[in-house]
Amino acid sequence: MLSRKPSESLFSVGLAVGAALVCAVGIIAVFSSDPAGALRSFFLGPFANRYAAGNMLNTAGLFIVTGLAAAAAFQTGLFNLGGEGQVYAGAAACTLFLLRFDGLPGPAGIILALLCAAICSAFIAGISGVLKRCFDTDELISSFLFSGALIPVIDYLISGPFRYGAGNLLSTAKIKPAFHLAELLPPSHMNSSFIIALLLLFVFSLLFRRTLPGYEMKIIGLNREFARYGGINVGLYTVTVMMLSGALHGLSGSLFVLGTHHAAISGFTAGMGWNGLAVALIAKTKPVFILPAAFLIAYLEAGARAALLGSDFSLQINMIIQSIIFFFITVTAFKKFSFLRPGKGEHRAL
Amino acid sequence: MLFNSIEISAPFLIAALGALLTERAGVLNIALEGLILIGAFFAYAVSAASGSILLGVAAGCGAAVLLSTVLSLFSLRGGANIFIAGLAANLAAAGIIPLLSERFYGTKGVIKLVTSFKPPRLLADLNTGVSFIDDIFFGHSLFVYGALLLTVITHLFLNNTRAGLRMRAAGISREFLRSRGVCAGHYQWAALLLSGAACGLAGAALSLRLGAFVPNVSGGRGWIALVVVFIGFRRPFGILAGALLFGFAENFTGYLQQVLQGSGSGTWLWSVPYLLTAAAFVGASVIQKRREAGQ
Repeated sequence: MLSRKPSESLFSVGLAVGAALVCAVGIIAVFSSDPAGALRSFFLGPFANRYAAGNMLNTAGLFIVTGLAAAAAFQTGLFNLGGEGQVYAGAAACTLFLLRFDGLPGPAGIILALLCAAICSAFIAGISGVLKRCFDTDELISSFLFSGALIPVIDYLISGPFRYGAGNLLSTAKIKPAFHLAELLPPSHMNSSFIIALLLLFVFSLLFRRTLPGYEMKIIGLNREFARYGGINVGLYTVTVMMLSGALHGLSGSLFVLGTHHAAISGFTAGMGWNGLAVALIAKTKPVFILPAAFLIAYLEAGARAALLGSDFSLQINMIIQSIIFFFITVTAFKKFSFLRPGKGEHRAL
Repeated sequence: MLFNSIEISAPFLIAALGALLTERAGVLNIALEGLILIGAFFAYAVSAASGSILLGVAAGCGAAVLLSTVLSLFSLRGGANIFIAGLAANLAAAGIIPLLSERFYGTKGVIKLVTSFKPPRLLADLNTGVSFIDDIFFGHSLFVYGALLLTVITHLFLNNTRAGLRMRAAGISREFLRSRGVCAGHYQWAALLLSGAACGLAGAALSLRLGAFVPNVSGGRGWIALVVVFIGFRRPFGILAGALLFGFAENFTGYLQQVLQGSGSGTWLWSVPYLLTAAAFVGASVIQKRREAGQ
């Protein structure tokens, strides 16, 4: 699925990023009352001051984790489209855990809450893995459907039984300050979740590229039948990798809570799952590239937000940017209309 | 109850028939959701502006075909992964529609224009005196009869025409078609465009039935239609049964929502269609697996 030739990768990444930039600029120019100012904010806004730059770094850190989640599935030839729901579920699980057990000492509470979120989301994604293992149920569709079913339930929990305060904001109560991650660049939201993200990136890059499980994942991704023939327990990997992908999504959601918002807010993780997918696709098969890819996506998102400050279109702009990237990122080459290219029938092979 | 369920299942059926063609041609289109959304928006906007339902439906289909053309351009000509490109199409539709809506109607919310359009009802004068039978057969909108006709046509096309055979072959082995001097890409291209048109039609059926454009009017229906293909075991008449099942399910959910909304809790009910779809999808894959094991 993901191109392995460096030239092709460069071609599609360049194309995708270029097209996304052009498109974002076009939309901002059309939908802003002050196009010149909006465009300047789009390109320079994320670096304008400590606050904006810190927030962008913070988002990049979270995208590293969701990017890893998506990359784990891709490497094994699996599609986990339930990222949106899994991130949201992790965030909610972490918050509810810390609100329930608010007597825990700080570090223990944080570690247990992260664990709780990871297990919760791993379980959700794991169902898709088990179904794939046992009944060949397409994990692409099932993970999306489970996520779609989960999001309204979490919305309900946040806006109903666990709602705190009567304002417009649908939010749970805040967790205790003892559970907040350390701020690194006040006044921005930048916090130590970024360092955790870098550590995770380091560990999983090693896992994906330098260990036997990582190698076997890659073989499965290249050809499931061949992997089975070669004695790899494909079913086991299907389940565990889906769980790993879910766990990373859950971690990212809970880091968002612990570091940034300190509460679960209705719909606050929207887009994180798709952004993770975009990051993994830009990074292609090399986990190291997740770092620059996450920065790029975070930069585009922060830029769109800065450019349209005051109007509430940043979510839409981000969706369009994501869509442009998704359209272009797996393109190998635009060829002439000779439909007779051989060997392109297998769409799911890496 | 019965009458409404059949009305509701028409968009599922139409979109699923389109998806069936892509599934059989080996380029499963997962962008149904976005295509339906685009179709619904343009069908409503144009029929409201022009006063003609026919023009509206044509515009809805046209817009959806355009998006599916982009999808096929990237996946078939650019060699992009069909699922990633499909996701892209979904995101594009979900991002563009609110922008357009804000631009032209000044709101991201519900668009309801003064004149209301209802698709014409057919056979409304006929009745047998038995309400059960009347509910099933008579007085439905054009889209219901259209969807039934499309089911028959799709069945005949896939099983009784050379083009249908080749479209199915494209999904099994491109190389075989190639060796016969037939280009599989053309048939995959056609399947994607037809699925775009079908989704446009389904979207038109949705928004014209409501007489308004509601944000996120597709509300997961594209994914349900996708799953209906598998529940129907990839056959047009199986899909007809699957679509009816979901028509009933959605009607029932709507009824539940009305009952429960009164008692003050509602949002979690949005998850019911997804849960039902997931359950049906898993069920279908279990049966499929059993069958394969039995053979």
